[in-house]
Amino acid sequence: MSAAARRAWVAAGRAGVVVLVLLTWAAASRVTDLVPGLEPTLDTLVDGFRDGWLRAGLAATAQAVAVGFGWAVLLGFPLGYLLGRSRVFGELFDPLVAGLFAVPRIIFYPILLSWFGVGMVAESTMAALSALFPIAVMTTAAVRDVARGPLPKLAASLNLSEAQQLVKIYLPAIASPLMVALRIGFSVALIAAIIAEFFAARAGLGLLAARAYALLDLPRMFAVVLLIVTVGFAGNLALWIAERRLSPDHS
Amino acid sequence: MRAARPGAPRPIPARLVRWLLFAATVAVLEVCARAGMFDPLALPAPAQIFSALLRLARGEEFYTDLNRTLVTVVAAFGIGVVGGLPLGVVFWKLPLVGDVFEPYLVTMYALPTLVFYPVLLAVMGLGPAPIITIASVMALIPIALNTMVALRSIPPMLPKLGRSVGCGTAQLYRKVLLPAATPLAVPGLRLGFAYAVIGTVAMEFILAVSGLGFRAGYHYRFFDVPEMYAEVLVIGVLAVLFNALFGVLERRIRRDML
Repeated sequence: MSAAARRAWVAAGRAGVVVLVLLTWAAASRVTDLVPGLEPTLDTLVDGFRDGWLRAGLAATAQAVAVGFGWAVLLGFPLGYLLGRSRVFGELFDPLVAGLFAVPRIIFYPILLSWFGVGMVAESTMAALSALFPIAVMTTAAVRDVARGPLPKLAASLNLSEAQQLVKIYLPAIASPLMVALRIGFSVALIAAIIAEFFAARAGLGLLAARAYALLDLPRMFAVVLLIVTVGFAGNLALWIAERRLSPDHS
Repeated sequence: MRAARPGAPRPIPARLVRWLLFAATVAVLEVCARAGMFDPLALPAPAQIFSALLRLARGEEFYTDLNRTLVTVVAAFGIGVVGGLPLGVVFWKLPLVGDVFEPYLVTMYALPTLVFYPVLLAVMGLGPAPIITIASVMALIPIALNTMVALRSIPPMLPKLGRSVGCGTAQLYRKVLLPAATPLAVPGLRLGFAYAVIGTVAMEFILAVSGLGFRAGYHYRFFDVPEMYAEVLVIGVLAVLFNALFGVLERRIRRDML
């Protein structure tokens, strides 16, 4: 099979998966009342945007995710870089960071709520806390990988300063794993914000889904879930494509 | 091993410094809390959290929650392994299928699986079934992906060598492919387990009738702040413990391979 034919098959297969999911959904809605059909769900989605309630929820969630993700990058990258470059910090805090990485961070949300009260601050802190550890852990791993290679010797022979090493050596060398870290960080921040909103919030898509579930307003619930999935999927896909472009073995 | 220079002070082991830092943090928190620097409804003294932990450990409810959470995690992880490993093999055997599903798996990895929880709640009812379903999908994805990557990275020379010495298909899988893929596939299992834990606790936290995640949220809603911290502590310690266990397994397996 030629490369072009293979690509066409893969593209067709990928489109086929989407069609299959939609068909399964349509079939399920005929079998049970608990799954609303495609049409009422899409109608609710459109109505939600026209009336504004869905737009407001989307804006609140987007704000929580953006602020949280921003803080996670601002804190997680330097932390991961420091752990990767400094042996003392690495030895002291590696087990702590690895341990916290394994803990389901959402469990800290009630603590954040009792500190900040219900609202945007608690949600974005939750998103930041969740995304910080994957970003830090993956940055550390990538930096150590580079440090084991020949590049640090080059840096030493050129007498590069710490700042020059960061900008000229490490950042380009870890660009590809860093993109993976950012993509996963984004996903984790989105999930954390949604779960947090499910539990307690003043606005957001998670809150809308939870309310719709409580009222058993199924078309509304499916519309919100569909929107969350679409937002997450689109964000993830965009970052994944950027990542593939950056990866060294991409021709 | 670092060789100490003669005369130089012996390096202090990192483990000791870590525990000292930890003890110092707890002590500072205790003193500050007793001095009334924190709102007791936001951050109770460590001693209070500890006595709440003892109170919880004497009750029966705690063990019901612990049992529910552990059973759910193990069930989800088990399904993830049983489904994920063969799926990884299929994606490797049929690269076209692997390429078709890869972007979906990579994006589902971290993403929308959890938001289907209310959907499944509506369909399956309140109980362990919807949690196990979603947590097992969350565990399955990294396991399938890592298995595929592990098998794809085996040098083609190895199976050829196996064939040339007369391996049958079963022997080829058991004696050649399995050991060659293990070092890369085990981190997938570790990640799958972590996702099973995260998913289970998060969904219990959103809406459930028992489980450690549910109980932490429950204590928050009833303002039992020390109890809430105690539950969080238990979940944290359990997660760290299981992670360390997988770490030991991973190191042992790698040593056996080399």
